[in-house]
Amino acid sequence: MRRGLALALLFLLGCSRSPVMDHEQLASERKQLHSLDAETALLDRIIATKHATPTFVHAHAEYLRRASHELAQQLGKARAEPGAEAELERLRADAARLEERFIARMLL
Amino acid sequence: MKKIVQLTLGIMTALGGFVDLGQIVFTMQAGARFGYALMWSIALGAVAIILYMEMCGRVAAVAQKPVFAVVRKQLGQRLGVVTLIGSNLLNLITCAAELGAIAIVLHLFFGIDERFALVGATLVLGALVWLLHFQWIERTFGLSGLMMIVFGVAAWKLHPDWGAVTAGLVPRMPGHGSKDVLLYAYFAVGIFSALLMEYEVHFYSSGAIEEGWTAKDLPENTIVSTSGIVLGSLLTCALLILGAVVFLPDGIFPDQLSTTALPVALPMGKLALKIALLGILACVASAAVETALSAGYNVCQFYDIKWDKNIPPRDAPVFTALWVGTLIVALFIAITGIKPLTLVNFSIMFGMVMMPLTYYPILTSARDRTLMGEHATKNVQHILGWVFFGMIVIAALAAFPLMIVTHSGQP
Repeated sequence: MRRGLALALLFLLGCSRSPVMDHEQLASERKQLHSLDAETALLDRIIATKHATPTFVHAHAEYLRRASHELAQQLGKARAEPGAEAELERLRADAARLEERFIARMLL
Repeated sequence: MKKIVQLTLGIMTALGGFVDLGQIVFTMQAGARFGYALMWSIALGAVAIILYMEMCGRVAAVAQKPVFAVVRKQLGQRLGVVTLIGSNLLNLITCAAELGAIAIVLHLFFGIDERFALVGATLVLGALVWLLHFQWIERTFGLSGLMMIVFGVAAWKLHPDWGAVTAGLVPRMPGHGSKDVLLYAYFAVGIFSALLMEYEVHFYSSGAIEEGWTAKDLPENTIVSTSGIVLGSLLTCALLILGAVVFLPDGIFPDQLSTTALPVALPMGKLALKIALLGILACVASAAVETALSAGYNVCQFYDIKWDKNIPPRDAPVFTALWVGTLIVALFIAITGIKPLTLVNFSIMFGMVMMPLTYYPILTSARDRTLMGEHATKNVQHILGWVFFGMIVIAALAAFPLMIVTHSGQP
């Protein structure tokens, strides 16, 4: 039982992030944001060449929107370590812009 | 002629049933993050699983002992029970992840609501397993999984740098700081673990007994386990290549199951995308069925309770209740909304931790001359088995620490 609880705790530690983000964590968040942005561009290329079904495009875009929303929420709750506040603010703004783009796309 | 057809079917089934959610996700993420640099971990994992799958098939055919019968004998009651609980917990989590993945693929394909797809798919899978005999379950899902070959075709059409692909077979440390080294190690362990997932050997060994293998079937065991896995590993390499060619240059980290289908759509269009989705569907459905059945096999084999998929379900009530129960609990886990990729991340690392407890009994039983007689493992294979067992232990010790420090492999 105790071992099971310890494993569960390890799992939670592995999956969760500290609300206080240092430069390294912020860089990681930046990469995730860039990844979502680049994936949207890739999806646009696929749509332009009519290489995906409308059902797939709609569903995939919704998954990406949810991912961007989660990222924006995570950044919204986070605090930056001293010296990293400006970077966190920039990330929050970029994440909000990305989410807005996804919402606009879903409304089209 | 009949034998050749049977053998071909066996190889095709092994190939089609080899890939699962963990492999799809981990290898594509590894390709997206490190290019071809982790190709060696696929090769290493493939050799290890060939070695151990051949051994467990041989033990089942010669001694008529499936994996959990040898676990009880080699580890004793106490450690055996720990292994049993751990393995079935792993089966449950993996089954939940695969069910969640089925719902996502159905949503991507038909646009139907994910929760509805989840419940409907679980009912259909349960009905199929209830009604079909073992061989038909294995063939239906295994042969449908052959649609995954479309990923191989897409990789070929994208013209990867074959020189760089080959160079990836030699391990090299990435040169961008300690975080990269840890991530590299995390994905190496993840790929190795995904290829060696325990339920594959539980299912294979139980299948050998379900199909009534004897010592006469040992050549078939060797050919099926070797050829099926070699071809399946090539498919896994294709997934890594797609990650490297399509995602790495743009800095995309495939964090959604739907993203993994994009590299097929890009060069080949709608039809190929549909085949890719159906291929993924077949693979994850196959893994869901195998993990649910393995849960039943494991308990029944450990406690010597009657189990057989080829008799009416009411004649093996404990076995039936166990696989049905696993499917139902897994459905409840999946329906809570936990992401399948989060579950599979955990199951792969937890699977790695559990692995030594499953593979040690196989290694020692296959070598046991009193059990195996003239079919006991020969020296070279036994030494190789120990070398890989050493790697499994190292990877098992590193799995959770790597998961924690890399935040489950986040870039």
